[in-house]
Amino acid sequence: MKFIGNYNEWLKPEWVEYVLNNDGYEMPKYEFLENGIMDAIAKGERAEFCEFQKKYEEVGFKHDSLLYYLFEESNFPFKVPLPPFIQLKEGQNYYWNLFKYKPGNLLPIHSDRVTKFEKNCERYWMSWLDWQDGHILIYEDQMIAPYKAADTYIFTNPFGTHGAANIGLTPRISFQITIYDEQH
Amino acid sequence: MKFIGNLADKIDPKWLEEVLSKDGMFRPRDGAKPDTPEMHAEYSKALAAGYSDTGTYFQMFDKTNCSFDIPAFHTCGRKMHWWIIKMMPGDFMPMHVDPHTTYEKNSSRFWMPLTDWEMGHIFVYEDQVITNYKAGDLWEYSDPTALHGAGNIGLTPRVILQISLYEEE
Repeated sequence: MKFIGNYNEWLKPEWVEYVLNNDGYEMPKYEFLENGIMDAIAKGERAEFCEFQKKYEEVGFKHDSLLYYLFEESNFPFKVPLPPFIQLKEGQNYYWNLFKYKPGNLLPIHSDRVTKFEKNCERYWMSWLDWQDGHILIYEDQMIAPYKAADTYIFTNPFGTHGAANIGLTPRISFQITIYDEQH
Repeated sequence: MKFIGNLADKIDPKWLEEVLSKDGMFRPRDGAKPDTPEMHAEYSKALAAGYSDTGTYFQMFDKTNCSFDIPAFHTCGRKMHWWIIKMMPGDFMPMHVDPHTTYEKNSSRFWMPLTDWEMGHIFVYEDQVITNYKAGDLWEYSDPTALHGAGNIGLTPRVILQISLYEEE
């Protein structure tokens, strides 16, 4: 992960306030339901949905556990403009995800499968809150800490193995934006 | 955290075998309830943040549920007590200060993994993580009262031997 700057002028306090006061989609249940594979996942029939899902199930992570909360355009009532560190070129597109981890929430280590299907993708990570003890982002064998709200990093490798957890006493909110070349 | 050295040759492989082959004491569910002001303070913070004192976040082993005893390391005449923490994937221990280190005299805390580090095995000491370690690596807390926590977001069990030294009053 490489630090690229702090963009606190872009980050709006009302966005942070909203996420602190609301829960997003319960993950990973929401993802399985959205893709219509909850039953199949429950029966272990679609473990290939994510290359890590089968391994998760094997080692005891439960497909219906609440691991963290997700916000995206459909459940976030604000328009999120492109942050200033991104200038899309012709033929490029992007998407963003917003994550909330309450104390005790976690995301097992994984590599983002989706990014493998997106040509020339770049992934950026921004915390929406100041780092607190117990807020964990692990990228390969490094922990990103401490940081300030709106500090932004680029994934050195968008397929790099990473995971997150909150073993602290306060919520942890992180924003990810991925840009990629559209393929026609 | 201060790295002391690797003491793998002092580890009996049966310790790890036993810990991996059975359940330990489920904590905090089956653990001692707070009985000191220091422990009350740690529990209160965790409960206020949303953690449960009836959940299982990790498993603990000590003399009472193991067939072995850990021999005394170089204690310099101090008392030693030990315990082993097993974290299965998804387990964690919220950030905390070990209550006993705040009132024990001349306290020292040591940390020794019994399993090699794997991706997703997390030990946080203040704002640092310890990674890429080998079973038997021995570390001493620079400050025994420092804030620390742990988690396992990986795919394999994580087993750590914990040692505390202190002077009897």
